[in-house]
Amino acid sequence: MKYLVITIFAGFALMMGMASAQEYSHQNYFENYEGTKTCLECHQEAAENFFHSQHYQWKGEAPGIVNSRGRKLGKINTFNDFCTSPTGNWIGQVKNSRGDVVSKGCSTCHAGLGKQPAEKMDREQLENIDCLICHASGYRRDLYKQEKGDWEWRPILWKNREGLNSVSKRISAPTRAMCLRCHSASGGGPNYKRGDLEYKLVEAEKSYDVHMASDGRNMQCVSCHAGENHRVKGRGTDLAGTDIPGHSLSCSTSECHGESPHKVKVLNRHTSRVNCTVCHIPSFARTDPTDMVRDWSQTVYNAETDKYSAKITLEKDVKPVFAWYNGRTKAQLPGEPAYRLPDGTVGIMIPQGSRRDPKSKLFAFKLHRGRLPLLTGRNWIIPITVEHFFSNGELDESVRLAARTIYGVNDAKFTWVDTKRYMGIFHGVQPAANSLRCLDCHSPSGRIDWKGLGYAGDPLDNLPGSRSRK
Amino acid sequence: MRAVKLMITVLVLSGMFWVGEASAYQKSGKDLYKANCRVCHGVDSKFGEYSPMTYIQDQWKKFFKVKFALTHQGVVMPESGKPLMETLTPEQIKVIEKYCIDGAADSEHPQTCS
Ligand code: HEC
Ligand code: HEC
Ligand code: HEC
Ligand code: HEC
Ligand code: HEC
Ligand code: HEC
Ligand code: HEC
Repeated sequence: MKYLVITIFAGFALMMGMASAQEYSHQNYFENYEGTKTCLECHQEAAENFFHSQHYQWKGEAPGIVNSRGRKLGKINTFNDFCTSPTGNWIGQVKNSRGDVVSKGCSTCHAGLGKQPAEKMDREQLENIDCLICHASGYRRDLYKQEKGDWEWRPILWKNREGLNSVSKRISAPTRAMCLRCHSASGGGPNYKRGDLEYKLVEAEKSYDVHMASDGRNMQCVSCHAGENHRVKGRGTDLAGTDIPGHSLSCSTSECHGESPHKVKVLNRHTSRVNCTVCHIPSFARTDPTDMVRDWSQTVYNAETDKYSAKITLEKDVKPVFAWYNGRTKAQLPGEPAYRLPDGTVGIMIPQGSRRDPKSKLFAFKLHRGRLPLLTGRNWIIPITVEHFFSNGELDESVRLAARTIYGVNDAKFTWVDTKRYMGIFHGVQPAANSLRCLDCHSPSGRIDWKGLGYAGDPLDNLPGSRSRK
Repeated sequence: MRAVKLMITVLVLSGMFWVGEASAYQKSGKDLYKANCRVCHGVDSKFGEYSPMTYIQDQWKKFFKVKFALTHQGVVMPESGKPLMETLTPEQIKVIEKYCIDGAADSEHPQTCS
């Protein structure tokens, strides 16, 4: 009997699924999807707005970067300690010796169909925007060669008219799955880069993330990040440009939690110096391990995929480190002398602030370490032409190639330097019961390095009746 | 009345198939597809290249419901010379169908079956 009920129910659900599948939001708005120009017929203005966004331009005003000197910055004109730089790696298939595709270029994560973003807006650029990647469920794209020989991103259904028309009509505001198409795959593998933006968030439970859990609040990325006119809120701590200068996205604004969300007074006293994330995100990379160290000086050959890569150290369930942050960051930019930290390493993205700066709070970070080439004589960091390196493992040549493309330096000589980058951890807020407790910080074996953060010692030790009193 | 009976049969069948263990089917689905479909539908095949991600889920459902038996009635396996429809059991066809739907172009993880 029970079986029959389940069966009928399942069959019914299947039929419902099939019936509703015919009624997509844009079912009657157009007949055939002919690429972005179909959308432009009704959404020209939305496209023009998107053209100017950080997501399209990969650069924008950078008031959060102390050394930006008024320049617009972003992925397009900076480099990082993961895939290093999009220069020279924009689009194209790289094959290994077996003929398998091992890389498709940095435009894999660009919301365009293959052309590089241009300064000037024109029809061609607007038609280059990939609206479906953020707005259509069931959409998937891949790299194809045009007749003229240029590469472009196309829906995998491009030969299947009926299928493409169906998918391109399933339009909605962006869901988590759509944003995570790029954000959980950045850095070369699942969750490699950020650590706190896992694909798991598509369907997570409350114990994993109280905000986005599908059995809880079910918040979407856009619940927190949507701005207006295709500008998103929040740059985190280690991205350069920002879509909405002057605006910061934080948990403690009045429309969210405010500065005093606790019944326990002593907890509310902490919020002026300790950011919410420090206590409420005790660990990250809880499902997929994240890249904690990327050593580009070591070539690793993976026989299974027949691909070369840097030496990557992955870790799971990582405890964040704490550092002062006042909303601004010092960036290591190309063509600028390597910025050395007191320990001799080069700081790629270093949060600014200190205990004495009243605007600073302690924030939770993923501390990513790396090893990158440094141009002898100039003291500039050189990125790596990764597309060259992935297929043949010629490391020195890949460095020299990058030095030539980016700095115009032939036969570059270089040494290797250790690097550090602090990446804010903001997602994966756990239920209150899992938050850090007093002794997680106020004890000799706690998570806080009091002296390192500018304190004489644990402030609790100096209170009357505390354990350190002799 | 016959229509109702048919309806119930379809419901029961589809129910049985959906309630089934997903993971156990997954692997054999790919193997079955490779051995019984990909042989004629690989890259540059004269019969057309078909992998799960050639179609969307709705198209696979429709294909197996109305088209598969019709279009493959006469085809014989290249190696054995045995008709395809005698090579596969109805259960195996169900497994292949599920593999196609799960790996369709609009699924979570489109499959190329290569
Ligand atoms: C014939 C005009 C027309 C065309 C063509 C069209 N849209 Fe729309 N779109 C609308 C209208 C009207 C609305 C607002 C009402 C609605 O949501 O249905 C809308 C709403 C939207 C929304 C907001 C949806 C939401 O739920 O918040 C998005 C996103 C969108 N369209 C994207 C697209 C994309 C991408 C394309 C191209 C595939 C496209 N539209 C093509 C008319 C059009
Ligand atoms: C990187 C992701 C992304 C891409 C790509 C994208 N959008 Fe959006 N879109 C959003 C977000 C986020 C919102 C919601 C808030 C907003 O308006 O910024 C939105 C909202 C919209 C809306 C409803 C609100 C409005 O502004 O009218 C429309 C219509 C829309 N998008 C159309 C488009 C079209 C057309 C394209 C392609 C030219 C496109 N979008 C490309 C992320 C994207
Ligand atoms: C509950 C609110 C909330 C939700 C939901 C949310 N975020 Fe965030 N996100 C934040 C906050 C707060 C920051 C830090 C903003 C800042 O300091 O500029 C942030 C930062 C970011 C950044 C900047 C880089 C970084 O990680 O520091 C990215 C990218 C991002 N979020 C993507 C996403 C995506 C993708 C989703 C959906 C899977 C998402 N966010 C959901 C609150 C949220
Ligand atoms: C096509 C890939 C792609 C998609 C889809 C995508 N993003 Fe991004 N996003 C990026 C890249 C790349 C950057 C970094 C741009 C830069 O730094 O120049 C970025 C940056 C951001 C930032 C930081 C912006 C800043 O000011 O630096 C936020 C927040 C963000 N994305 C949220 C989202 C949300 C929310 C969605 C879903 C609506 C989304 N993204 C969809 C690729 C994508
Ligand atoms: C010093 C650590 C710490 C900091 C900083 C902190 N919290 Fe908490 N928070 C806790 C603890 C511990 C609990 C659980 C309290 C309990 O069980 O009574 C909690 C509970 C909560 C709750 C659940 C409310 C309730 O009463 O059950 C919310 C919401 C919350 N915090 C939000 C925030 C926000 C927003 C911030 C930043 C403005 C923040 N917290 C900063 C430690 C902290
Ligand atoms: C994330 C680590 C962390 C946790 C968890 C934490 N504290 Fe603190 N606490 C700090 C820091 C950092 C300071 C110094 C703040 C400052 O500079 O003003 C501090 C300061 C204090 C002080 C002295 C300043 C004041 O507000 O009176 C007391 C007392 C204190 N904490 C008690 C507690 C108690 C009780 C708990 C548990 C309910 C707790 N703390 C949990 C980090 C933590
Ligand atoms: C012995 C060779 C052979 C095998 C094995 C085979 N097919 Fe076919 N298939 C064909 C031929 C012949 C056609 C008809 C081609 C034509 O003339 O259009 C076809 C057509 C198709 C079509 C297109 C039908 C249409 O809509 O026109 C699909 C989809 C398909 N096959 C799927 C499959 C699947 C799934 C399997 C495995 C269960 C399979 N085929 C096994 C030979 C084969």
